[in-house]
Amino acid sequence: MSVQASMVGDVFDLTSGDAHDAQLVARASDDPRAFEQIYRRHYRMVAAYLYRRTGDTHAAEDLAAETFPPAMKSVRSMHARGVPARLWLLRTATNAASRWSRTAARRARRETARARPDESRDHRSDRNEELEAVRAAIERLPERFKAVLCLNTLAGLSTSETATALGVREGTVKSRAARAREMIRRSLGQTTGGAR
Amino acid sequence: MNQASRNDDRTSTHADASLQALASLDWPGPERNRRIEEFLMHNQQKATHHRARAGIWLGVAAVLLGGAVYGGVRLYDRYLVKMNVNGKESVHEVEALPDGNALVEVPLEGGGTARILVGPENVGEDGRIRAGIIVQDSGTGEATQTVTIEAIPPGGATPAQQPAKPDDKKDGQPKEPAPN
Repeated sequence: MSVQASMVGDVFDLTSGDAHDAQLVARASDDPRAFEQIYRRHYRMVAAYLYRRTGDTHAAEDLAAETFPPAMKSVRSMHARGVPARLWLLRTATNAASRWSRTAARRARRETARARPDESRDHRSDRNEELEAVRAAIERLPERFKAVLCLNTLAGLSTSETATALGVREGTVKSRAARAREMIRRSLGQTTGGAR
Repeated sequence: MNQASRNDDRTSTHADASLQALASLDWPGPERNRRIEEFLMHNQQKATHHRARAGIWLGVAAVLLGGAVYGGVRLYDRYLVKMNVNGKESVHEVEALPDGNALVEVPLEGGGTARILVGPENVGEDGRIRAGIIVQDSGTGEATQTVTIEAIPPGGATPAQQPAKPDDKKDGQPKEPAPN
């Protein structure tokens, strides 16, 4: 059995892309080692995306840990629906990040009320004020706009990939992305205007 | 361009640049997530246990059903060889070889000996081994000698005599003989 696994591993290294993922997903229903390959191929991509969303490496790691296990459990659905593993993972990560941001917002409000607001941000890896402002603007977006903007812009998916990941039409992705950018611009304009 | 338009443009550029800066952030953390690795490891072990357990149950079921035996397990100790030579029956007992197969030698009417190896791969759906040979007259094509072989599992009852048909050995899996 181990000989077979190492042979398969060698073959995997020679190929790439969603077609290869599809083979892994097909196998992953019965063989957890196939899902391990998916994890190794996509962990960095998912973690980077979650880091862009949260600005926090620890939070990104936690959210990645909330992304992969459910994906593994739903690997049969993934296979049946034919959605590439990469898109499925990013969609799951998007949901996890949105849940996290809502919880983080509640936590921040509680901690602000305790008059020591900076303590809650001590563990932040990325404290760039400008990026924080954009993140905050993104998190204020309605969910359907946020998902499109995050997958399209922060995860780097194409319009058609975003449409596949979210199960909507490409035209919907385009219009929501444009609308989301417009809302971000307004939000940042108000923020900077208010600060000045 | 009025002041309001210029302000809008600046906001627009600023927002786009900020989004771009956010999108270009690379992952600064470790390349592996210990929690996911542990989850995967746990699942792999669980799957292995499930497979092992399934294997054990399959093995038990195979033994209970007296089914196929592969991998060196010997199921049959002896074979009853029932010969039917032109309607005259005789029964011989043959000891199984250590690998569970048995080499059955059949003396032919015209002289010489035919040998047939029977083993677990000949197990039928009912758990019994059946194999057979038919000796034909090369001139007329008539069957001159029919040999039917049936296996007796340890402690099993003697199976009924059921002559084999000429095509019963096709594909190595003898078919259920036609009723008399």
